[in-house]
Amino acid sequence: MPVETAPYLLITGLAVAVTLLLYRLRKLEKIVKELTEFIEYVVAPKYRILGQAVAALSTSARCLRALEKASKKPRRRYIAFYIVTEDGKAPDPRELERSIRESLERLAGLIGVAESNISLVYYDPEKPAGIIRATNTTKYLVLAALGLTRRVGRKRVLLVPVRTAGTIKRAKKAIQLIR
Amino acid sequence: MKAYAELCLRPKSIREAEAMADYAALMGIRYVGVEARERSLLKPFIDHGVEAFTRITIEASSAREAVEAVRKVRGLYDIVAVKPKGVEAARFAARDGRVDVVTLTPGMARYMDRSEARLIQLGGGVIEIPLNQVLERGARGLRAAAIIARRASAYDTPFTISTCATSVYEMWHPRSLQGLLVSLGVPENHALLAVSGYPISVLRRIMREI
Repeated sequence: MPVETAPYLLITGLAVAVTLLLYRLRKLEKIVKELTEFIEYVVAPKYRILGQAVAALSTSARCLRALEKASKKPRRRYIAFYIVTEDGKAPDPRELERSIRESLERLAGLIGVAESNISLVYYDPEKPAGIIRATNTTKYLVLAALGLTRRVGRKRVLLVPVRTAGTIKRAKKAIQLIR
Repeated sequence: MKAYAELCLRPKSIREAEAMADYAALMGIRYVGVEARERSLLKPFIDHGVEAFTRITIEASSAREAVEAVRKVRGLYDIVAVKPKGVEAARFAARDGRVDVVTLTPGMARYMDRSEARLIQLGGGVIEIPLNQVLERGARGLRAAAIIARRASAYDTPFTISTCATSVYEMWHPRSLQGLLVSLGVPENHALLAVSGYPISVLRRIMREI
């Protein structure tokens, strides 16, 4: 082989190699594209279905939790309070309960009264002090209602909450500490 | 026992002040703002271990009016409260460092916006909801109070609720006030801050200035 033709042959060889490489690259790209399309076509809907299933599951879990909460017995709260009157005499417990109920109705409506399920469970006319029972979800409403109650019958009163407890025993203890 | 604060009490006589001081101490109220012409009405509170501060409420419809009034009373009273009658006065009162309390009546609920909240944070004061005026207006008053309290809570602005009681029978226990705020839609922790933390921080600032 003549010496002058050697570089041309080398260049030609390189060109052929590059062309082959490019051809293979194209082929590979084509395969990748086909694979991606295949994945999108087959797998993506499955993921979508999976996502929907997860969402449905979480919704049903939330529903279950809500149902559980609704079916649970509401926890009771006992609010101990003392009464300040103008003449220092204790008001009638029935009138007192009615006044608190009316205040609660003024504040939260009939549904609020029904939900709170309030009742005067303990009354000490000597202090005078009492314990009112409510539910844990409505304790703040009842506390506000105690603040709103300004009259029992014709007497001006001030109801001062002392403690909110989970048991009547603890609420009674709080009342005993009142001077 | 948690320390509570009541920024507005208006006893009319020494006897009334004594009774109020007695019950304030029983309720756990450690700091009170007393709006009275005579300084002698503060003495019963101090005797009962309640820190009492003199307070004045200025009504202003414009910034100029507010500036003049604040300049006149600064130094004479511990707590300077401004009850704005217009948006300009509300903005001035919120921004001015000499004003400690901005009283927003139910009719002024619309002024409690983001700008007012930022200005209050700059000025170092507190937004006050007067409960006596809220209850006078009934459901509408409560609605306005809910708007003010909820917005103040959302913008992390110091706010408080004051009874402005003139007698023992108009006083509210701070827990009842907290209960009312929670019922109006304010988060529990913010409601507690409204009757203890926020007003106490303003009073501490005043004490530092004194």
